[in-house]
Amino acid sequence: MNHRALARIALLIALLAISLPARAARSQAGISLTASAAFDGNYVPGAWLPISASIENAGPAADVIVSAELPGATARQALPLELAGGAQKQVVLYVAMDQSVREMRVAVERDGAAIAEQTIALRPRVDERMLGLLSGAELSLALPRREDLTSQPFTAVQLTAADMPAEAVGLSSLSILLVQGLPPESLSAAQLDALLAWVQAGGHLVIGAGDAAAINGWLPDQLIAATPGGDASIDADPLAALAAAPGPGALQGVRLAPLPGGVAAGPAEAPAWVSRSFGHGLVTQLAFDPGAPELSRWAAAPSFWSALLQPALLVGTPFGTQSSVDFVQEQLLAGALTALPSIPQPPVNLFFVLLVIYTLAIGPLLALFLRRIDRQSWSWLLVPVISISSGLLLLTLAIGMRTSDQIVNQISLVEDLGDGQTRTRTLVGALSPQGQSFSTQVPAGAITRPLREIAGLYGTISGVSGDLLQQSNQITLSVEPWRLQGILLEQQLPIEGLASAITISDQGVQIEVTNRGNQILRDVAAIYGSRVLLLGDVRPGEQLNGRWAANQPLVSTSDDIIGQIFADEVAAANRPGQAANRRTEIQVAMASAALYGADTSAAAGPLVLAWIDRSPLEAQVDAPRAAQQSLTLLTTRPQVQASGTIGLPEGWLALDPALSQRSTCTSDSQTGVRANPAPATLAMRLPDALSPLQADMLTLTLDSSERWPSAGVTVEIYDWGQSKWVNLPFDGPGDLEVPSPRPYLAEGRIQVRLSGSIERAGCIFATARVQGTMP
Amino acid sequence: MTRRDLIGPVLFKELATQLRGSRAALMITVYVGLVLITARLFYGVTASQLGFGRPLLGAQIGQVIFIGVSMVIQTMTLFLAPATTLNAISQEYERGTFDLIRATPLSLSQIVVGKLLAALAFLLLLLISAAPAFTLVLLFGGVATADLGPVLLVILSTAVLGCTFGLFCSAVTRQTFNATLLCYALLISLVGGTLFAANIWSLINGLSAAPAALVVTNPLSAMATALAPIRPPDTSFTGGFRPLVLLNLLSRGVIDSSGVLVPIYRATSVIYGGLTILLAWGTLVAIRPRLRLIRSDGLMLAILLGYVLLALLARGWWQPGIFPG
Repeated sequence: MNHRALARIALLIALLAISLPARAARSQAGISLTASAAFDGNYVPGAWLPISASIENAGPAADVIVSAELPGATARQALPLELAGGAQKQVVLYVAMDQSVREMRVAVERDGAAIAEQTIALRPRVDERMLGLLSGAELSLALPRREDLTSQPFTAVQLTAADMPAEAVGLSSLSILLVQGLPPESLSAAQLDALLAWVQAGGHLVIGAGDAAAINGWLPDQLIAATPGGDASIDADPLAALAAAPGPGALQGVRLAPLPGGVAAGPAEAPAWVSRSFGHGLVTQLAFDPGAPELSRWAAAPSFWSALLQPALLVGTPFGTQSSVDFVQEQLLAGALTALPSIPQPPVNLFFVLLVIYTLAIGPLLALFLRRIDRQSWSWLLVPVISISSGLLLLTLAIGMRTSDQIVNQISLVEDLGDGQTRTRTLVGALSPQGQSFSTQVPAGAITRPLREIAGLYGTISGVSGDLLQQSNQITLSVEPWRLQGILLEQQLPIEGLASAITISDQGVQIEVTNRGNQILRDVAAIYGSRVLLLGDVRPGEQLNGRWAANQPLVSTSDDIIGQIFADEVAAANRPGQAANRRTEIQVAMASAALYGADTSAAAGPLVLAWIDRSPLEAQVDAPRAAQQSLTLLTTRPQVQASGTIGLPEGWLALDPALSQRSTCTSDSQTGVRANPAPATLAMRLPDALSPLQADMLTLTLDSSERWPSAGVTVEIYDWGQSKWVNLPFDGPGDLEVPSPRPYLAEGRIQVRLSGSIERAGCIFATARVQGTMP
Repeated sequence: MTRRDLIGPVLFKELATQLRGSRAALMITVYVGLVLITARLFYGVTASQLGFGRPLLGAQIGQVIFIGVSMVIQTMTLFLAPATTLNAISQEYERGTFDLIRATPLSLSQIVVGKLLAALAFLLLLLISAAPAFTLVLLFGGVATADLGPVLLVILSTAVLGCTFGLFCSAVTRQTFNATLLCYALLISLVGGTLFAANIWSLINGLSAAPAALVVTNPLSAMATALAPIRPPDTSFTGGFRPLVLLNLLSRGVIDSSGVLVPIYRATSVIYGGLTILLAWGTLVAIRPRLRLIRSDGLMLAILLGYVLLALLARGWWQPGIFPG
């Protein structure tokens, strides 16, 4: 081969070497990304933000990862994607916004290298009202300007049905969602399920009158407050009262008939709106079109909207206020993960005995033997031989007997949303002496996030770092040495398990719990009217009945309810010299999370708790040598059935601080409302199912944390029929028999007004006994 | 040339006589016994937390036992290593046999190396005999094979330096009693003095971390930094003894609650290597009848310079955080 041929070959190789990377670069350039954040990039820190990404592949087929990364974050959400050649895919990536940042990097990666990326501008909204306007057409409300409000300004974002997330977490940045004129079938089943879970967690859904048929057609039953009827002229007085200004005049709308539990504003024949609680949230159904021109022209419209469009609840968090209980529940659950289980220790005494025998053998016994045969220098050989052979023997024994050196702790809260749907959240924490990555199988479709750092019962738990694959059945948990780190999984799943019903008759109050699932329901506890009934285990296919004892003590705080549920376990743990039972501590924390807010919202109604062995959203962590602990709590709201003449003891007609619009106070394990400032209006309500009750006898019991003022207190009760306050003679504290109570209990509600020197009473507690007839 | 010539007649003689009598057996029994007692003690202290309902991970116990046993072995090596050679030269002088050995064709370096290797062999025998106790660590887990490397490095470098130091004291004083006094006085000064200096420095500087250089020659501090990466838990999920507190006391300024700040065991090993060469050279000089330069001095100087050159080349491994620049 001559030099010229060699030169040609070299040139060919050089050209090939140059062309190969160029071809790779072209294929990288073939993938393009267009990403945008939901809600125009507005989000509430601590909530989730959906990111829509459109990925186009002009090159050959490729497996890529779409990732979203916040500046400075150690973990990021990612979505694996198979891209066929020439394909275009739309994906939604849910990103946990655990930092207050103003931008986010979205990238498409292959083999760890970014091949397309985009930076999205974001806008954190702290202590603001994020209002979503979901409408078939452009909807414009005369909202108050930011500068006219002292707190909770509005950030309104226009949404279309296509913008609505299919996961409840995607809505978590919104505190209020106003739906108007949306054609039926606009939202998919997944979007409606997400809406249901969002309201249950604390969202406020406002439904405009729009087309009455549309309301009937597409919303789940739980999210309907009233049945729309024919056209009607809507009295503007409730609007004027709310805006504290002259009204806009009569509005054209629909006639709303409140459903059980619905609270109407305005005249019963044509209320202006009807509100109804669901879970921690609220549904407000308007009888009029929120975009009506009369409203747009109305000068007091900003005040009206500001008063009406309030978050259903506000929870203080390190990120600012949030309109969801999720943060608090997750913190309670994450804290419970630090209560690690006890692990049985290996038979170490046997090992020590063997080592003592070895020591004697290698020392005096060997020396005596070698002296006897006069070969003491053989020690140089025999000591290592005995030592190594004994070491190998003990090594084999140790490998066979060693115990777990890792712990995986898993807890799951399954909340029944009705219609066989549950919102399930599973928290998984892992502890390992060495840095390790655990491969974890989860049900496909779960949304994953790292846990937020919190000091729990026994230490600190924090989130894992690295990529967290979304909606994938395979994720990786990377933990650092001796750091308890974890993730939170969330998914809406169907479940067939617990069916329960409370029957109220003249015989008393009875609960019936049926296990329709295939798992044992353990330690079932029914809570109604601040009373607890422990039913024990219910096997699959089994039905259990229970009746509350008439003399059962009444408790009003969720701590007291939990105290009654776990009374035996807590008493056992409190014996002198007895260590705390960590499993019970986890159960208490989980029950606290499930019952969060139960003592401040009478609308929550009865609740049934049951422990199941296997969560529907179970993470299977591949750690064969780990000690694994798993607890799952299932909560469901029993159906309340009542007929004929019934008597309701204390606890059913309960004080509702939210409806009373007063802050709560606690004294002597009772929850009440503050008496100051006077007049104090106490709103009490029955569970939604009992709202049609017509009272024949009503006895109020009023008490206070400070001494009840002996003079100067006026007690009035509201007559719903005549829309006026009626004076009641009362020299409290104690029982107050309400004569002819029927007009005072309407839609399951009574209102009592205390004025005059009641301010000196401190905290007011109110309970009621009622007898009546269910129509 | 026979095999005896190859391994050295002095070494052969020492190996043949060292394990005679009950002293060696007693030492092995006490050595392994102390290791076992330490392991049982540390296990007991840690496992007692179970009585308070605190869960213990096996790995946690394993790490605590490993740390405790390694510290005890290092302490025993520190004080035993010189003891094995303290009378190696002085006894020959005291018995009047040194001149007889000098009359043989054996060179001074053969005598010194023979005695040194014999002492090291005995120390190695002790270490091997204690090895089965480490299966306890495997029973509980928590220690990776990679964690053994730094610990072994520190123990071996301490053993070699200790034996050489004992030999040097023995050669310099030529009297076992004086050699013992000199050796242990210097040893205690080194261990206690550096820790004392570091703690005093910290006290007078607002409890800030002392410079790592203050404890770089301390064998216990070196072991503490070799053990600290094992990082037993310092959180309260689990109960148990927290040996990191003890390690922190031994190495103020180089370990804190977040882990190892400066892994000084590397610098310690490098310094110990250099000191070993210097002390061996000093021993050779001390047992010479006349103080004059000979060919072996050139060899020792070359070894020392070669070592210094190697240490300089590898300074990126051991120097950061200890000495500036």
